[in-house]
Amino acid sequence: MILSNVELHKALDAGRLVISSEPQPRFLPAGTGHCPYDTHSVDLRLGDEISVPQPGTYAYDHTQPARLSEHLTKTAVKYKISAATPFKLEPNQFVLGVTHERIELPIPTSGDVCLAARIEGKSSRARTGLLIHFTAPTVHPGFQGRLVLEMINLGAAPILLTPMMLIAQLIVEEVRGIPRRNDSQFQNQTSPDGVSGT
Amino acid sequence: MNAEAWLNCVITPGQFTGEYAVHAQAFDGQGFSLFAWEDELTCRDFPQGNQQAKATLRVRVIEEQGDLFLIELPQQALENGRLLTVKADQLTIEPVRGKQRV
Repeated sequence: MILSNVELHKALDAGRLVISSEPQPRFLPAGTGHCPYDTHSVDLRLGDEISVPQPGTYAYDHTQPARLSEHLTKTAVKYKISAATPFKLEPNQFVLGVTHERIELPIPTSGDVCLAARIEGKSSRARTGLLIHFTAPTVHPGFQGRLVLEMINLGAAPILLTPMMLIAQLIVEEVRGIPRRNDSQFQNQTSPDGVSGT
Repeated sequence: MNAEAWLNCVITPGQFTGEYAVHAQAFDGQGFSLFAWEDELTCRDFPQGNQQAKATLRVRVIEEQGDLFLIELPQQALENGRLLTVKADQLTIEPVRGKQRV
């Protein structure tokens, strides 16, 4: 079940959902500005860093155990952006960004419901060709941190990425039941990822 | 079982400020890596630049069988999933303390 704006506020007040800094205002009289809360989502803003992967004489082999996270870092260049110096995302260029807001979806110690979320793009950005995620929208119960955005410009013109611009929306959902182990993922396992080999 | 524990790991600076590239080993010695935010880590002296440091990563213990523990990582490992198995001696109940740069 997707949380409405009213339920989002309740979740924030109860600490079941933590967004810091919390998007404000919660409600706004019509025609007087921007309210980050839509009927069932909350807007997130772009942080002030962009990570740009660099080409090189290497390839990724996802079947091989490796220190891939370290390699990804070493083969990327990090840019600090500001309103005066936005990042110019060229057509077909792929970069990583991060949300300004930090998200937390605590797993409660009691009860039978927790929260998960999905990050989605905004239609106004999509119309210029900007994708802010692909294949990885899920925010799992228990997550805490800022959300990394996999951004690509599929449009015909460059797009300027400026810190604090509205970049994404978060849709929060209830997960019925507290996540626990899945027996089939542990029994008879033959690989370190916990997946049964039989 | 659904308890918090800390997984021994080595970290290097990640792709964003406050983010770290984490490297640890599964029960069979195979390495895996992921990105984690500083909130999920304890480290006496977080590394900068090309440094690396010993740290502990907050995980959830899902199941215990002998000296094997099925754990859930805070983020998906880049080489496999969020659930994987480690040995008991790779886990601590208390986060790492003291200066641990390597």
